[in-house]
Amino acid sequence: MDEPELNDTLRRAVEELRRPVSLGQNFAPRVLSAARRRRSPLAGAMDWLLRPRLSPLGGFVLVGAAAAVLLLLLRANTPAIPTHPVTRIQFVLRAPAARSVTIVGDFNNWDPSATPLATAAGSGGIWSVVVPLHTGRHEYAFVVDGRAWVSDPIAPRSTDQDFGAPNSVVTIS
Amino acid sequence: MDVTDVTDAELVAGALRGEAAPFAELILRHQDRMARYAARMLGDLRDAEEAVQDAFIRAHRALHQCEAPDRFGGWLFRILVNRCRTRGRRRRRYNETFVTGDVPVEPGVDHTAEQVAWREEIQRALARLGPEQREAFLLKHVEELSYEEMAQATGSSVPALKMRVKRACEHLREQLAEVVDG
Repeated sequence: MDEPELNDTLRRAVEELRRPVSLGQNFAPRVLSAARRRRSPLAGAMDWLLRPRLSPLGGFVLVGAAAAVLLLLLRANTPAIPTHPVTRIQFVLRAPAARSVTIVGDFNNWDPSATPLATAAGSGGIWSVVVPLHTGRHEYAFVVDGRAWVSDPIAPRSTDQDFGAPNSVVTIS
Repeated sequence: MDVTDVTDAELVAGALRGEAAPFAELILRHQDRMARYAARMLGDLRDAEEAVQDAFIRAHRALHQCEAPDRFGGWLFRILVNRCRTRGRRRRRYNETFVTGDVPVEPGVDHTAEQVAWREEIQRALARLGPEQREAFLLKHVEELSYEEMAQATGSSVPALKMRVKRACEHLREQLAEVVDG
């Protein structure tokens, strides 16, 4: 039932349809960034509150819910937001053949376009950027030419098992 | 970091531990095949990209539900098939023409006018098929899935899928013969 269904014309068509389709160089980092983005509960609640509703009761529900949220906010004994000291850390990667290098990590929401590294002529392909980091442990990786994820060769990895941990780790104490 | 020679199951385990690079590698491994299916199914590169992105994000969120990580590709494809169905339904609801955007082409390759015309005819012929027939034809003859794999990806029975493929082939043969014969 399989191949006899395809005459010469249809075989040519199938051959054409099997040709690759590319989604662009930055597709993987973009998707990963979106996938790892965590939505805050407050953002979810706002989405729910502001979603258009067809029911005539929707408006009352919305007002009631908003009032409840307001009461909760007024009654909440919100603690002061703790302040964390910030340390400026320089990240460096030697990549002579690279056309672009960016850094992704929990500090920039794994966004490959947020933090590009710069290189200077005559530097031998040394790329660097300074990133302000709060105290604590941060995972990161370099993205070379928008596609290849590269761990920092001079930094510890996040774990040591299996295939070697992909992310590098920097700890600010 | 070298995640290129490890199995999908190992990458899934890494991603479940919260590591970024294993999932990045899963995206790189599967994105081309998914892009091809979505582009042929939806007929529009922008829609295809959104469907594939949506499928990966849903897969990432539901990774703990992937019961057979060694068959991650099949599980992911099932999600993509559903995303394409949803996008297709939404588009029909808004009465949009099927081929609305760029006809998906291979990047970095020169295309003659004849090739471009042929490609457009194929895309038009695909567009005239019903979504179920188009889906079955692409899964069978372009993605080369077995009927059992197709049944898992679509939730349809094997006999129903065989019938859809047969009908799709008949329609496409007929439409493309008109083009070839002039």
